[in-house]
Amino acid sequence: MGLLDHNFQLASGERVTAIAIDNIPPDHLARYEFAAECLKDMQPETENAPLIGADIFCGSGYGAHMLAQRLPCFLLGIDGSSEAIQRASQHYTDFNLLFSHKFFPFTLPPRHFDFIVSMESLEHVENGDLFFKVLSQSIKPGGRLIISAPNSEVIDLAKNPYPWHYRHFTKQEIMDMGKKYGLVHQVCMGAECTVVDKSTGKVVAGNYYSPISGKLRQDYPGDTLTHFFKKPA
Amino acid sequence: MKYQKSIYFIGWDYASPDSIALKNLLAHPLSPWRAEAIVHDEVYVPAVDGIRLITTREFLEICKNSPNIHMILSVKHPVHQKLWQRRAKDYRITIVDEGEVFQSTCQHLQATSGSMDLGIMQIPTSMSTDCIEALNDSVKKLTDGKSQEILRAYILFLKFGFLEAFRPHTKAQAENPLTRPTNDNWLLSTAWGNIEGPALAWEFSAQRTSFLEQAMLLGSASLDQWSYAFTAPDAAAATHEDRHLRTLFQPFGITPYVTHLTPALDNRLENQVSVSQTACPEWKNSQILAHINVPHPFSIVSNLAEQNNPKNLLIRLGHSPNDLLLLLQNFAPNFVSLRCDRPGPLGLHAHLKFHLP
Repeated sequence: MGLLDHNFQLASGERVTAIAIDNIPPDHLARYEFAAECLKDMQPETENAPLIGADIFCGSGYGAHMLAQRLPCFLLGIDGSSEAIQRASQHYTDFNLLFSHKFFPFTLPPRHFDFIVSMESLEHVENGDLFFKVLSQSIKPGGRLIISAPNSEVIDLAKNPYPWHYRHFTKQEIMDMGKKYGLVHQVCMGAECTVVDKSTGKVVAGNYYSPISGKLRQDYPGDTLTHFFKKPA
Repeated sequence: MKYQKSIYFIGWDYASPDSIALKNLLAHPLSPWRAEAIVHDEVYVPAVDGIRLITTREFLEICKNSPNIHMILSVKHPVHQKLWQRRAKDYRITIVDEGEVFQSTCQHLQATSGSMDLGIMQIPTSMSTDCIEALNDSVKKLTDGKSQEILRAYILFLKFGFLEAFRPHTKAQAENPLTRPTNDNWLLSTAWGNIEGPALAWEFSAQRTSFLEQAMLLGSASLDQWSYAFTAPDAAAATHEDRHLRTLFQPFGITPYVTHLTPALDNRLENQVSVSQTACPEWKNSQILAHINVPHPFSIVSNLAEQNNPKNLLIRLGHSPNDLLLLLQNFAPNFVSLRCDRPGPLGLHAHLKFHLP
Protein backbone atom coordinates (compact mmCIF):
# COMPACT_ATOMS: atom_id res chain seq x y z
CA MET A 1 0.00 0.00 0.00
CA GLY A 2 1.49 3.32 -1.05
CA LEU A 3 0.27 6.85 -0.55
CA LEU A 4 -1.73 6.72 -3.80
CA ASP A 5 -3.65 3.64 -2.61
CA HIS A 6 -4.32 5.00 0.85
CA ASN A 7 -7.98 5.64 1.65
CA PHE A 8 -8.11 9.08 3.28
CA GLN A 9 -11.89 9.25 3.57
CA LEU A 10 -13.38 10.05 6.94
CA ALA A 11 -15.31 6.78 7.03
CA SER A 12 -12.29 4.62 6.14
CA GLY A 13 -12.17 3.27 9.69
CA GLU A 14 -8.68 4.69 10.21
CA ARG A 15 -9.76 7.57 12.45
CA VAL A 16 -11.98 8.27 15.40
CA THR A 17 -14.65 10.42 13.81
CA ALA A 18 -16.81 11.17 16.86
CA ILE A 19 -16.96 14.76 18.00
CA ALA A 20 -19.03 14.30 21.16
CA ILE A 21 -16.67 13.66 24.05
CA ASP A 22 -18.82 10.78 25.34
CA ASN A 23 -18.36 8.92 22.05
CA ILE A 24 -14.58 9.17 21.94
CA PRO A 25 -12.87 6.03 23.26
CA PRO A 26 -11.45 6.50 26.76
CA ASP A 27 -7.94 5.41 25.70
CA HIS A 28 -7.86 8.20 23.11
CA LEU A 29 -8.93 10.76 25.68
CA ALA A 30 -6.44 9.37 28.20
CA ARG A 31 -3.53 9.86 25.78
CA TYR A 32 -4.34 13.55 25.31
CA GLU A 33 -4.97 13.97 29.06
CA PHE A 34 -1.51 12.52 29.58
CA ALA A 35 -0.02 14.89 26.98
CA ALA A 36 -1.63 17.88 28.71
CA GLU A 37 -0.13 16.71 32.02
CA CYS A 38 3.32 16.36 30.43
CA LEU A 39 3.11 19.88 29.03
CA LYS A 40 1.42 21.86 31.77
CA ASP A 41 4.64 23.04 33.43
CA MET A 42 6.22 24.29 30.17
CA GLN A 43 7.26 27.92 30.09
CA PRO A 44 7.71 29.83 26.82
CA GLU A 45 11.07 31.40 25.98
CA THR A 46 9.61 34.89 26.31
CA GLU A 47 7.48 35.73 29.30
CA ASN A 48 3.75 35.83 28.53
CA ALA A 49 4.30 34.55 24.99
CA PRO A 50 2.26 31.50 24.05
CA LEU A 51 3.77 28.07 23.58
CA ILE A 52 3.83 26.89 19.98
CA GLY A 53 2.64 23.32 19.47
CA ALA A 54 1.46 20.87 16.86
CA ASP A 55 -0.81 17.82 16.82
CA ILE A 56 0.43 15.77 13.89
CA PHE A 57 -2.26 13.44 12.51
CA CYS A 58 -4.93 15.14 14.56
CA GLY A 59 -7.86 13.33 12.88
CA SER A 60 -11.12 15.12 13.50
CA GLY A 61 -9.48 17.40 16.03
CA TYR A 62 -10.86 16.42 19.45
CA GLY A 63 -7.38 16.01 20.98
CA ALA A 64 -6.01 19.23 19.50
CA HIS A 65 -9.10 20.95 20.90
CA MET A 66 -8.43 19.47 24.36
CA LEU A 67 -4.86 20.78 24.30
CA ALA A 68 -5.89 24.18 22.94
CA GLN A 69 -8.34 24.48 25.82
CA ARG A 70 -5.91 23.40 28.51
CA LEU A 71 -2.65 25.09 27.54
CA PRO A 72 -1.70 28.73 26.85
CA CYS A 73 -0.50 27.84 23.38
CA PHE A 74 -1.00 28.22 19.66
CA LEU A 75 -1.53 24.87 18.07
CA LEU A 76 -1.37 23.53 14.52
CA GLY A 77 -3.35 20.36 13.76
CA ILE A 78 -2.33 18.44 10.61
CA ASP A 79 -4.00 15.40 9.10
CA GLY A 80 -3.88 13.56 5.79
CA SER A 81 -7.66 13.37 5.47
CA SER A 82 -9.23 16.52 4.07
CA GLU A 83 -12.61 15.31 5.35
CA ALA A 84 -11.25 14.94 8.88
CA ILE A 85 -9.74 18.44 8.69
CA GLN A 86 -13.00 19.87 7.42
CA ARG A 87 -14.82 18.19 10.31
CA ALA A 88 -12.30 19.53 12.82
CA SER A 89 -12.54 23.08 11.44
CA GLN A 90 -16.31 22.97 11.53
CA HIS A 91 -16.58 21.77 15.08
CA TYR A 92 -13.99 23.59 17.11
CA THR A 93 -13.95 27.33 17.65
CA ASP A 94 -10.64 27.65 19.51
CA PHE A 95 -8.86 30.84 18.41
CA ASN A 96 -5.51 29.27 19.23
CA LEU A 97 -5.98 26.27 16.95
CA LEU A 98 -5.51 26.04 13.19
CA PHE A 99 -6.08 22.90 11.15
CA SER A 100 -4.29 22.01 7.96
CA HIS A 101 -4.63 19.19 5.47
CA LYS A 102 -1.35 17.61 4.43
CA PHE A 103 -0.12 14.16 3.43
CA PHE A 104 3.12 12.87 4.86
CA PRO A 105 5.90 13.27 3.75
CA PHE A 106 6.03 16.96 4.58
CA THR A 107 8.66 19.02 6.32
CA LEU A 108 8.26 21.17 9.39
CA PRO A 109 10.39 24.19 10.28
CA PRO A 110 13.45 23.10 12.30
CA ARG A 111 13.59 23.95 16.01
CA HIS A 112 10.21 25.68 15.78
CA PHE A 113 7.77 23.95 18.12
CA ASP A 114 7.79 23.96 21.91
CA PHE A 115 5.94 20.66 21.76
CA ILE A 116 4.56 18.14 19.33
CA VAL A 117 1.88 15.60 20.07
CA SER A 118 1.33 12.76 17.62
CA MET A 119 -0.99 9.98 18.70
CA GLU A 120 -1.38 6.70 16.82
CA SER A 121 0.53 8.09 13.86
CA LEU A 122 3.85 6.33 13.40
CA GLU A 123 2.20 3.10 12.24
CA HIS A 124 0.26 4.93 9.51
CA VAL A 125 3.29 6.10 7.49
CA GLU A 126 5.48 3.97 5.29
CA ASN A 127 8.69 5.43 6.62
CA GLY A 128 8.21 5.72 10.37
CA ASP A 129 11.84 6.56 10.97
CA LEU A 130 11.64 9.56 8.62
CA PHE A 131 8.41 10.70 10.28
CA PHE A 132 10.03 10.52 13.71
CA LYS A 133 13.05 12.42 12.40
CA VAL A 134 10.92 15.25 10.97
CA LEU A 135 9.05 15.65 14.25
CA SER A 136 12.20 15.49 16.36
CA GLN A 137 14.03 18.08 14.29
CA SER A 138 11.19 20.57 14.41
CA ILE A 139 11.14 20.63 18.21
CA LYS A 140 13.08 23.42 19.89
CA PRO A 141 15.87 22.57 22.33
CA GLY A 142 14.05 22.10 25.63
CA GLY A 143 10.91 21.07 23.73
CA ARG A 144 8.81 17.94 24.18
CA LEU A 145 7.37 15.13 22.10
CA ILE A 146 4.49 12.88 23.10
CA ILE A 147 3.96 10.08 20.60
CA SER A 148 2.05 6.80 20.63
CA ALA A 149 1.89 3.66 18.50
CA PRO A 150 0.66 0.05 18.76
CA ASN A 151 2.97 -2.33 20.57
CA SER A 152 4.17 -5.05 18.19
CA GLU A 153 4.95 -7.30 21.15
CA VAL A 154 1.21 -7.48 21.89
CA ILE A 155 -0.36 -6.95 18.47
CA ASP A 156 1.75 -8.62 15.84
CA LEU A 157 0.79 -7.05 12.52
CA ALA A 158 1.57 -10.31 10.68
CA LYS A 159 -1.18 -12.06 12.66
CA ASN A 160 -3.54 -9.08 12.76
CA PRO A 161 -3.52 -7.27 9.43
CA TYR A 162 -4.75 -3.71 9.93
CA PRO A 163 -5.29 -2.35 6.41
CA TRP A 164 -3.92 1.11 7.18
CA HIS A 165 -0.95 0.15 9.38
CA TYR A 166 2.51 -0.28 7.86
CA ARG A 167 4.16 -1.61 11.01
CA HIS A 168 3.87 -1.74 14.78
CA PHE A 169 6.72 -0.93 17.15
CA THR A 170 8.22 -2.32 20.32
CA LYS A 171 8.85 -0.01 23.25
CA GLN A 172 12.58 -0.34 22.64
CA GLU A 173 12.31 0.55 18.94
CA ILE A 174 10.63 3.83 19.74
CA MET A 175 13.08 4.58 22.54
CA ASP A 176 15.91 3.89 20.09
CA MET A 177 14.43 6.28 17.53
CA GLY A 178 14.24 8.97 20.20
CA LYS A 179 17.88 8.39 21.10
CA LYS A 180 18.90 8.44 17.43
CA TYR A 181 17.33 11.86 16.96
CA GLY A 182 18.61 13.44 20.14
CA LEU A 183 15.62 13.05 22.45
CA VAL A 184 15.69 11.85 26.03
CA HIS A 185 13.03 9.32 26.98
CA GLN A 186 11.03 10.26 30.08
CA VAL A 187 8.31 7.69 30.52
CA CYS A 188 6.25 5.09 28.65
CA MET A 189 2.56 4.56 29.40
CA GLY A 190 0.62 1.48 28.29
CA ALA A 191 -3.08 0.91 27.68
CA GLU A 192 -5.23 -1.81 26.15
CA CYS A 193 -7.84 -1.12 23.53
CA THR A 194 -8.29 -4.64 22.18
CA VAL A 195 -8.77 -8.13 23.61
CA VAL A 196 -5.99 -10.42 22.41
CA ASP A 197 -6.13 -14.21 22.63
CA LYS A 198 -2.71 -14.88 24.14
CA SER A 199 -2.57 -18.43 22.77
CA THR A 200 -2.89 -17.33 19.14
CA GLY A 201 -1.75 -13.70 19.36
CA LYS A 202 -4.88 -12.65 17.51
CA VAL A 203 -7.14 -9.77 18.37
CA VAL A 204 -10.52 -11.36 19.11
CA ALA A 205 -12.45 -8.19 19.93
CA GLY A 206 -12.14 -4.46 20.22
CA ASN A 207 -12.35 -3.06 23.73
CA TYR A 208 -12.35 0.57 22.71
CA TYR A 209 -14.89 1.88 25.18
CA SER A 210 -13.36 0.59 28.36
CA PRO A 211 -12.30 3.22 30.89
CA ILE A 212 -10.52 0.39 32.72
CA SER A 213 -8.34 -0.95 29.93
CA GLY A 214 -8.03 2.46 28.30
CA LYS A 215 -6.39 3.93 31.37
CA LEU A 216 -2.70 4.74 30.86
CA ARG A 217 -0.40 2.89 33.24
CA GLN A 218 3.29 3.55 33.62
CA ASP A 219 5.52 0.87 32.04
CA TYR A 220 2.48 -1.36 31.45
CA PRO A 221 3.06 -3.55 28.37
CA GLY A 222 -0.30 -2.73 26.79
CA ASP A 223 -1.27 -3.02 23.14
CA THR A 224 -0.72 0.73 22.73
CA LEU A 225 2.26 2.60 24.14
CA THR A 226 2.52 6.36 24.64
CA HIS A 227 6.02 7.81 25.00
CA PHE A 228 7.09 11.13 26.45
CA PHE A 229 10.43 12.54 25.22
CA LYS A 230 12.29 15.76 25.98
CA LYS A 231 14.88 17.42 23.79
CA PRO A 232 17.83 18.66 25.84
CA ALA A 233 18.04 22.46 26.10
CA MET B 1 -15.23 -2.70 50.78
CA LYS B 2 -17.52 -5.69 51.23
CA TYR B 3 -19.45 -6.27 48.03
CA GLN B 4 -23.16 -6.70 48.56
CA LYS B 5 -24.17 -8.30 45.30
CA SER B 6 -22.49 -9.89 42.36
CA ILE B 7 -24.01 -9.55 38.94
CA TYR B 8 -23.90 -11.52 35.67
CA PHE B 9 -24.32 -9.90 32.27
CA ILE B 10 -26.24 -11.60 29.49
CA GLY B 11 -25.65 -10.24 26.00
CA TRP B 12 -23.82 -7.13 27.19
CA ASP B 13 -22.58 -4.97 24.31
CA TYR B 14 -19.30 -4.37 26.09
CA ALA B 15 -17.87 -2.34 23.19
CA SER B 16 -20.62 0.30 23.22
CA PRO B 17 -19.88 3.92 24.21
CA ASP B 18 -23.18 3.79 26.11
CA SER B 19 -21.66 1.35 28.60
CA ILE B 20 -18.91 3.66 29.92
CA ALA B 21 -20.88 5.00 32.92
CA LEU B 22 -21.81 1.47 34.04
CA LYS B 23 -18.21 0.26 33.62
CA ASN B 24 -17.01 3.22 35.70
CA LEU B 25 -19.52 2.30 38.40
CA LEU B 26 -18.51 -1.36 38.48
CA ALA B 27 -14.81 -0.49 38.63
CA HIS B 28 -15.25 2.07 41.42
CA PRO B 29 -13.92 0.98 44.83
CA LEU B 30 -17.13 2.17 46.51
CA SER B 31 -19.40 0.17 44.20
CA PRO B 32 -21.81 -2.15 46.01
CA TRP B 33 -22.03 -4.28 42.85
CA ARG B 34 -19.37 -6.61 41.53
CA ALA B 35 -19.28 -7.72 37.91
CA GLU B 36 -19.10 -11.49 38.31
CA ALA B 37 -19.07 -12.64 34.68
CA ILE B 38 -20.21 -11.91 31.15
CA VAL B 39 -22.17 -14.82 29.66
CA HIS B 40 -21.99 -15.85 26.00
CA ASP B 41 -22.82 -19.05 24.16
CA GLU B 42 -19.17 -19.28 23.15
CA VAL B 43 -16.17 -17.55 24.68
CA TYR B 44 -12.75 -16.94 23.13
CA VAL B 45 -10.83 -15.34 26.00
CA PRO B 46 -11.04 -16.01 29.73
CA ALA B 47 -11.67 -12.43 30.86
CA VAL B 48 -11.97 -8.82 29.86
CA ASP B 49 -11.08 -5.98 32.22
CA GLY B 50 -10.85 -8.53 35.00
CA ILE B 51 -14.44 -9.74 34.40
CA ARG B 52 -14.67 -13.46 33.62
CA LEU B 53 -16.27 -14.64 30.40
CA ILE B 54 -18.28 -17.83 30.86
CA THR B 55 -20.52 -19.91 28.64
CA THR B 56 -24.27 -20.12 29.02
CA ARG B 57 -23.88 -23.75 30.12
CA GLU B 58 -21.41 -22.78 32.86
CA PHE B 59 -23.71 -19.98 34.00
CA LEU B 60 -26.71 -22.27 34.28
CA GLU B 61 -24.63 -24.75 36.30
CA ILE B 62 -23.78 -21.92 38.71
CA CYS B 63 -27.46 -20.97 38.91
CA LYS B 64 -28.42 -24.54 39.81
CA ASN B 65 -26.21 -24.43 42.86
CA SER B 66 -26.45 -20.81 43.99
CA PRO B 67 -29.45 -18.85 45.16
CA ASN B 68 -29.68 -15.06 44.79
CA ILE B 69 -28.12 -14.75 41.36
CA HIS B 70 -28.61 -11.34 39.75
CA MET B 71 -28.32 -10.76 36.04
CA ILE B 72 -28.65 -7.86 33.63
CA LEU B 73 -30.41 -9.04 30.50
CA SER B 74 -29.16 -7.01 27.54
CA VAL B 75 -30.00 -9.33 24.65
CA LYS B 76 -31.95 -7.54 21.94
CA HIS B 77 -33.39 -10.47 19.99
CA PRO B 78 -37.00 -11.04 21.19
CA VAL B 79 -36.75 -14.86 21.05
CA HIS B 80 -33.52 -14.85 23.08
CA GLN B 81 -35.10 -12.42 25.52
CA LYS B 82 -38.03 -14.77 26.09
CA LEU B 83 -35.66 -17.71 26.45
CA TRP B 84 -33.70 -15.88 29.15
CA GLN B 85 -36.85 -14.74 30.90
CA ARG B 86 -37.94 -18.38 31.05
CA ARG B 87 -34.50 -19.40 32.40
CA ALA B 88 -34.74 -16.63 35.02
CA LYS B 89 -38.05 -18.13 36.18
CA ASP B 90 -36.80 -21.74 36.09
CA TYR B 91 -33.54 -21.01 37.91
CA ARG B 92 -34.92 -18.28 40.20
CA ILE B 93 -32.55 -15.67 38.85
CA THR B 94 -33.33 -12.05 39.70
CA ILE B 95 -33.28 -9.83 36.63
CA VAL B 96 -32.11 -6.30 37.36
CA ASP B 97 -31.71 -3.48 34.89
CA GLU B 98 -29.00 -0.85 34.58
CA GLY B 99 -31.25 1.74 36.22
CA GLU B 100 -31.63 -0.40 39.34
CA VAL B 101 -27.86 -0.77 39.56
CA PHE B 102 -27.43 3.02 39.41
CA GLN B 103 -30.24 3.63 41.89
CA SER B 104 -29.13 1.06 44.44
CA THR B 105 -25.59 2.44 44.21
CA CYS B 106 -27.02 5.89 44.83
CA GLN B 107 -28.83 4.66 47.94
CA HIS B 108 -25.70 2.90 49.14
CA LEU B 109 -23.61 6.06 48.69
CA GLN B 110 -26.19 8.18 50.47
CA ALA B 111 -26.08 5.79 53.41
CA THR B 112 -22.28 5.76 53.52
CA SER B 113 -21.65 9.42 52.57
CA GLY B 114 -19.65 8.34 49.54
CA SER B 115 -19.72 9.76 46.02
CA MET B 116 -18.81 8.69 42.50
CA ASP B 117 -18.01 10.66 39.38
CA LEU B 118 -19.28 8.59 36.44
CA GLY B 119 -18.53 11.18 33.76
CA ILE B 120 -22.07 12.00 32.71
CA MET B 121 -23.39 12.08 36.29
CA GLN B 122 -22.21 12.34 39.83
CA ILE B 123 -23.97 10.11 42.27
CA PRO B 124 -25.64 10.43 44.69
CA THR B 125 -26.22 14.16 44.01
CA SER B 126 -27.28 13.81 40.35
CA MET B 127 -29.83 11.12 41.27
CA SER B 128 -31.46 12.75 44.26
CA THR B 129 -35.16 11.92 44.28
CA ASP B 130 -36.19 14.67 46.70
CA CYS B 131 -37.99 16.87 44.24
CA ILE B 132 -39.35 14.51 41.57
CA GLU B 133 -42.98 15.37 42.28
CA ALA B 134 -42.30 19.10 42.22
CA LEU B 135 -40.44 18.74 38.90
CA ASN B 136 -43.31 16.66 37.56
CA ASP B 137 -45.69 19.49 38.34
CA SER B 138 -43.48 21.86 36.36
CA VAL B 139 -43.51 19.93 33.07
CA LYS B 140 -46.65 21.48 31.67
CA LYS B 141 -45.65 24.95 32.81
CA LEU B 142 -42.75 24.98 30.35
CA THR B 143 -43.90 26.61 27.17
CA ASP B 144 -41.96 24.75 24.48
CA GLY B 145 -42.43 21.11 23.60
CA LYS B 146 -38.73 20.26 23.38
CA SER B 147 -38.12 21.50 26.92
CA GLN B 148 -41.08 19.48 28.16
CA GLU B 149 -39.64 16.35 26.52
CA ILE B 150 -36.23 16.93 28.09
CA LEU B 151 -37.71 17.50 31.54
CA ARG B 152 -39.78 14.31 31.18
CA ALA B 153 -36.61 12.40 30.24
CA TYR B 154 -34.84 13.86 33.28
CA ILE B 155 -37.70 12.85 35.58
CA LEU B 156 -37.67 9.35 34.08
CA PHE B 157 -33.97 9.14 34.88
CA LEU B 158 -34.55 10.34 38.46
CA LYS B 159 -37.38 7.86 38.98
CA PHE B 160 -35.87 4.78 37.37
CA GLY B 161 -32.19 5.51 36.69
CA PHE B 162 -32.64 5.03 32.93
CA LEU B 163 -29.93 6.89 31.03
CA GLU B 164 -31.67 5.79 27.82
CA ALA B 165 -34.21 8.53 28.46
CA PHE B 166 -31.62 11.20 27.63
CA ARG B 167 -30.33 9.66 24.42
CA PRO B 168 -33.04 10.85 22.01
CA HIS B 169 -32.38 14.41 23.19
CA THR B 170 -28.61 14.42 22.90
CA LYS B 171 -27.10 14.46 19.49
CA ALA B 172 -23.52 15.21 18.59
CA GLN B 173 -23.60 18.94 18.22
CA ALA B 174 -21.02 21.19 16.66
CA GLU B 175 -19.37 23.45 19.18
CA ASN B 176 -18.96 26.07 16.51
CA PRO B 177 -22.12 28.20 16.44
CA LEU B 178 -21.51 29.16 12.82
CA THR B 179 -21.62 25.59 11.56
CA ARG B 180 -24.54 24.25 13.54
CA PRO B 181 -27.42 22.90 11.50
CA THR B 182 -30.35 25.28 11.38
CA ASN B 183 -32.66 22.81 13.09
CA ASP B 184 -30.26 22.39 16.01
CA ASN B 185 -31.83 23.09 19.37
CA TRP B 186 -29.11 25.50 20.42
CA LEU B 187 -30.80 28.52 21.72
CA LEU B 188 -28.19 31.20 22.32
CA SER B 189 -27.04 31.42 18.72
CA THR B 190 -30.51 32.54 17.67
CA ALA B 191 -30.71 35.08 20.49
CA TRP B 192 -27.22 36.41 19.95
CA GLY B 193 -27.86 37.22 16.36
CA ASN B 194 -30.12 40.08 17.44
CA ILE B 195 -27.86 41.75 19.94
CA GLU B 196 -26.89 45.30 19.15
CA GLY B 197 -24.74 47.68 21.14
CA PRO B 198 -22.54 46.98 24.18
CA ALA B 199 -22.65 43.50 25.64
CA LEU B 200 -20.75 41.43 28.16
CA ALA B 201 -19.99 37.76 27.43
CA TRP B 202 -19.31 36.13 30.78
CA GLU B 203 -18.36 32.61 31.77
CA PHE B 204 -18.59 31.27 35.31
CA SER B 205 -16.64 28.04 35.54
CA ALA B 206 -13.74 26.33 37.28
CA GLN B 207 -12.25 25.57 33.85
CA ARG B 208 -12.66 27.58 30.68
CA THR B 209 -14.77 26.15 27.86
CA SER B 210 -15.07 27.53 24.31
CA PHE B 211 -17.95 29.79 25.36
CA LEU B 212 -16.11 33.11 25.13
CA GLU B 213 -14.68 32.22 21.73
CA GLN B 214 -18.16 31.32 20.49
CA ALA B 215 -19.47 34.61 21.84
CA MET B 216 -16.72 36.48 20.06
CA LEU B 217 -17.51 34.76 16.76
CA LEU B 218 -21.11 35.86 17.06
CA GLY B 219 -20.30 39.37 18.27
CA SER B 220 -17.37 40.03 15.94
CA ALA B 221 -19.26 42.79 14.10
CA SER B 222 -19.32 44.83 17.34
CA LEU B 223 -15.89 43.96 18.71
CA ASP B 224 -15.32 47.44 20.09
CA GLN B 225 -18.59 47.32 22.03
CA TRP B 226 -18.34 43.86 23.55
CA SER B 227 -16.37 42.88 26.62
CA TYR B 228 -15.44 39.44 27.90
CA ALA B 229 -15.19 38.09 31.42
CA PHE B 230 -14.30 34.84 33.12
CA THR B 231 -15.12 34.18 36.75
CA ALA B 232 -13.87 31.12 38.62
CA PRO B 233 -15.10 29.78 41.95
CA ASP B 234 -11.66 30.37 43.53
CA ALA B 235 -8.48 32.39 43.08
CA ALA B 236 -6.29 29.48 41.92
CA ALA B 237 -8.61 28.57 39.04
CA ALA B 238 -8.96 32.22 37.99
CA THR B 239 -5.20 32.77 37.95
CA HIS B 240 -4.69 29.56 35.98
CA GLU B 241 -7.11 30.65 33.24
CA ASP B 242 -5.92 34.26 33.18
CA ARG B 243 -2.84 33.46 31.09
CA HIS B 244 -4.87 31.35 28.63
CA LEU B 245 -7.41 34.09 28.13
CA ARG B 246 -4.76 36.72 27.49
CA THR B 247 -3.21 34.45 24.86
CA LEU B 248 -6.57 34.22 23.13
CA PHE B 249 -7.82 37.78 23.36
CA GLN B 250 -4.81 40.10 23.40
CA PRO B 251 -4.07 39.73 19.66
CA PHE B 252 -7.48 41.39 19.15
CA GLY B 253 -6.56 44.22 21.55
CA ILE B 254 -8.99 42.87 24.14
CA THR B 255 -8.15 42.37 27.79
CA PRO B 256 -10.68 40.01 29.29
CA TYR B 257 -11.84 40.53 32.86
CA VAL B 258 -10.79 37.62 35.06
CA THR B 259 -12.21 37.39 38.55
CA HIS B 260 -13.06 34.90 41.26
CA LEU B 261 -15.91 34.63 43.70
CA THR B 262 -15.67 34.82 47.46
CA PRO B 263 -17.60 31.90 48.99
CA ALA B 264 -17.30 33.49 52.44
CA LEU B 265 -19.41 36.36 51.12
CA ASP B 266 -22.12 34.14 49.57
CA ASN B 267 -20.60 34.35 46.06
CA ARG B 268 -22.32 37.70 45.54
CA LEU B 269 -21.11 39.30 42.34
CA GLU B 270 -20.57 42.58 44.16
CA ASN B 271 -17.83 40.78 46.09
CA GLN B 272 -15.94 39.21 43.21
CA VAL B 273 -12.19 39.78 43.20
CA SER B 274 -10.19 40.47 40.05
CA VAL B 275 -6.84 38.90 39.24
CA SER B 276 -3.93 40.63 37.47
CA GLN B 277 -5.03 43.97 38.91
CA THR B 278 -7.69 44.50 36.26
CA ALA B 279 -11.12 45.89 37.08
CA CYS B 280 -14.20 43.73 37.61
CA PRO B 281 -16.63 43.58 34.69
CA GLU B 282 -19.35 46.18 34.45
CA TRP B 283 -22.37 43.92 34.77
CA LYS B 284 -25.21 46.02 36.08
CA ASN B 285 -25.92 47.99 32.93
CA SER B 286 -24.67 45.76 30.11
CA GLN B 287 -26.52 43.24 28.05
CA ILE B 288 -25.21 39.96 29.44
CA LEU B 289 -24.58 36.62 27.74
CA ALA B 290 -23.49 34.24 30.44
CA HIS B 291 -22.51 30.60 30.66
CA ILE B 292 -22.86 29.48 34.28
CA ASN B 293 -21.04 26.20 34.72
CA VAL B 294 -20.63 25.82 38.48
CA PRO B 295 -22.35 23.65 41.09
CA HIS B 296 -25.30 25.40 42.78
CA PRO B 297 -25.68 28.08 40.12
CA PHE B 298 -28.87 29.55 41.53
CA SER B 299 -27.18 32.19 43.72
CA ILE B 300 -25.37 33.62 40.67
CA VAL B 301 -28.50 33.50 38.53
CA SER B 302 -30.63 35.27 41.14
CA ASN B 303 -27.88 37.83 41.67
CA LEU B 304 -27.81 38.59 37.94
CA ALA B 305 -31.61 38.62 37.76
CA GLU B 306 -31.81 41.40 40.35
CA GLN B 307 -30.58 43.88 37.74
CA ASN B 308 -32.97 45.11 35.15
CA ASN B 309 -30.65 44.61 32.17
CA PRO B 310 -31.18 42.27 29.20
CA LYS B 311 -29.69 38.84 29.79
CA ASN B 312 -29.22 35.49 28.11
CA LEU B 313 -28.12 32.96 30.69
CA LEU B 314 -27.10 29.42 29.79
CA ILE B 315 -26.89 27.44 33.00
CA ARG B 316 -25.43 23.96 33.29
CA LEU B 317 -27.54 21.95 35.70
CA GLY B 318 -27.53 18.28 36.59
CA HIS B 319 -25.33 18.33 39.67
CA SER B 320 -28.57 18.24 41.63
CA PRO B 321 -32.26 18.24 40.56
CA ASN B 322 -32.82 20.92 43.16
CA ASP B 323 -30.87 23.41 40.99
CA LEU B 324 -33.41 23.00 38.19
CA LEU B 325 -36.35 23.15 40.58
CA LEU B 326 -35.11 26.43 42.06
CA LEU B 327 -34.95 27.94 38.57
CA LEU B 328 -38.40 26.69 37.63
CA GLN B 329 -39.92 27.92 40.89
CA ASN B 330 -38.32 31.35 40.77
CA PHE B 331 -38.58 32.38 37.14
CA ALA B 332 -41.56 32.59 34.87
CA PRO B 333 -41.71 29.38 32.77
CA ASN B 334 -41.79 31.31 29.53
CA PHE B 335 -38.26 32.58 30.38
CA VAL B 336 -36.92 29.02 30.73
CA SER B 337 -36.06 26.46 28.09
CA LEU B 338 -34.03 23.28 28.43
CA ARG B 339 -31.42 21.54 26.32
CA CYS B 340 -29.13 18.56 26.81
CA ASP B 341 -25.72 18.02 25.23
CA ARG B 342 -24.55 14.82 26.96
CA PRO B 343 -26.34 11.50 27.48
CA GLY B 344 -26.72 12.03 31.21
CA PRO B 345 -27.87 14.58 33.77
CA LEU B 346 -24.64 16.58 33.58
CA GLY B 347 -25.61 17.46 30.00
CA LEU B 348 -28.69 19.30 31.17
CA HIS B 349 -28.79 23.07 30.57
CA ALA B 350 -31.39 25.71 31.17
CA HIS B 351 -31.55 28.82 29.07
CA LEU B 352 -33.02 31.92 30.71
CA LYS B 353 -33.75 34.91 28.55
CA PHE B 354 -34.63 38.27 30.08
CA HIS B 355 -35.90 41.35 28.32
CA LEU B 356 -34.25 40.94 24.97
CA PRO B 357 -36.01 42.44 21.99
